[in-house]
Amino acid sequence: MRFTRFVRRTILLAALPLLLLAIPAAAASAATTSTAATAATASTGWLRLAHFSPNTPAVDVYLYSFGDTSAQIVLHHVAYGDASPYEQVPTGDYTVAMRAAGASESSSPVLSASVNVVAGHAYTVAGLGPLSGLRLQVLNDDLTTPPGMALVRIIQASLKQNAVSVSWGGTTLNGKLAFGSVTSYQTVSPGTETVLVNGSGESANVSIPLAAGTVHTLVVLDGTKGLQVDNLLDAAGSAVDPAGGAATGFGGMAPRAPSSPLPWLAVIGAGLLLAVAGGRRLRRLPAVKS
Amino acid sequence: MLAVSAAIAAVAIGTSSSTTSARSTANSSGQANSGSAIPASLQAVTATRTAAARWIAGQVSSAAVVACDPAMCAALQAAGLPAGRLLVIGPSTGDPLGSNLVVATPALRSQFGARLASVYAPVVIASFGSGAARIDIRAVAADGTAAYDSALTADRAARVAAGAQLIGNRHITMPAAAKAVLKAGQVDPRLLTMLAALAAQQPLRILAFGDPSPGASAAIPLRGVEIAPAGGGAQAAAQLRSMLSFLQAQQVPYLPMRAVLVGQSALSVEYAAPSPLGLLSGT
Repeated sequence: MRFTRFVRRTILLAALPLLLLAIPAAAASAATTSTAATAATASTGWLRLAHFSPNTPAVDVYLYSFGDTSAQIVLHHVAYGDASPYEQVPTGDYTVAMRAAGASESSSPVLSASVNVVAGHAYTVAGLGPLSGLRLQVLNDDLTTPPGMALVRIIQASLKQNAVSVSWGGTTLNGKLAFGSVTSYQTVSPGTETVLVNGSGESANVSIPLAAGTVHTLVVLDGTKGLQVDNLLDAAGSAVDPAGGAATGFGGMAPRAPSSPLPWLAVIGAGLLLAVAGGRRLRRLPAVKS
Repeated sequence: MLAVSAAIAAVAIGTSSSTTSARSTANSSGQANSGSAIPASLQAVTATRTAAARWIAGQVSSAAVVACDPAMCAALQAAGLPAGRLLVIGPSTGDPLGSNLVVATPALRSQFGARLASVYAPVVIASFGSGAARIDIRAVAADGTAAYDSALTADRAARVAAGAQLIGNRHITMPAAAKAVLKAGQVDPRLLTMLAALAAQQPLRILAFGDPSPGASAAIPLRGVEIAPAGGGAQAAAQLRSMLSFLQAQQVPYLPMRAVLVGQSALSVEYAAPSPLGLLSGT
């Protein structure tokens, strides 16, 4: 499955820096680890990339740091409907560039946007609109909700249904959302309700749980069997940093900064396995350049 | 001599040569001044108008709509701007809104008075001539001057921060003058974004920033840069061609208006006016 493969690649991409972080962390005390994590958080933000342009071919996405040539991120073969997990990145400005999927790194990338990452903030850089008017839009992702509530926003990425209405549990979230548009976050009461999407010729409904304190982005896509709704988890709780797209099944907001060195040792082991097993593929995923 | 500086000089020379030419004509026609010759002042006005029109045709984005009085619009059309990009301001036109730039000729300044700068178009991006005959090219504030000023302030802060990061980029070297310009937030956001990406492809040297916009407000960032590969030697020519290829592959808004080799060792890059606001925030 293309999306799964993409996510797996991204995990591989994350393995090396995680490994580098884990080694010193495991050697230190739990208190030191916690302090280090806090210090890292103070100078980092989160970034994820998404491809929501239906008729745009898959692309390789590159992030170039303005100031740190070692802080470069490459995501290969980002195709329609893909959303990467959040990557923790140093604060600062980045140029976002694209190449056709599989294009040589010696070819010229096309600059698409710039994004300023602020400490503790999260962003989605999303490719929106049709191929002829493709734009990369930087979306500010909310991480906190009003007490006891959930937040939800919608991205309308269906080209077949130029405008759709979206409701959640009978409450209309948007009555006429045009292709390529993004709503602001709306506060909703938590619970499991049916999201109903109606276009001019197709509709979709899916049951989606929205827990208190969680922040979601619902993406309306052209699926192989009609309209499709993807649920991206932007944040799982006000006190928990984003760690990945929950809808991808990778645990979403997994707790960070473990209090015991054992998890770090496990991470090292897993990282080594990943590095060895994915070594061949990692050569195609130059996450860190010097 | 740097190409950007040369471009500035060229514009200056072009302006002054136009004026000189007009003055020469006036002088040569001075023998007929008492007859049917055009008064020197009118010739100066025409020369200033021509210089402004040439600058707009050569420096302004092809997507920008330009508001102008009928005489100025005619000069702009003569300089090559299609009619579809012109918003003709007649005596009864209430405002220049709907355009991106307004050419503030004496006629339009008289028509709109102080509101031209205080309400519609607060910032001068280029100016030609002097005194009452001066022609200012102003950026139109579509959402009002307060919103424009706020966006300009935020944009400058973003440029300062981004410039500081580029100064610390290990793949970019530059002279002190260029660092000072970057620190001050005086570099166009498209240049900053392009330089960051280009430096990721190959180390480079910034030789100088510049801008062929005579009389521009200090708040307007510089749109030009001259760059070279970090290393010299046999590979320099190939690296220059690679840099040029990189620039030519871009799309609006990152596609430069002009990117040309300067001899065998450097590349001169210019983006079109006006500089976009909010590009670095990305939202």
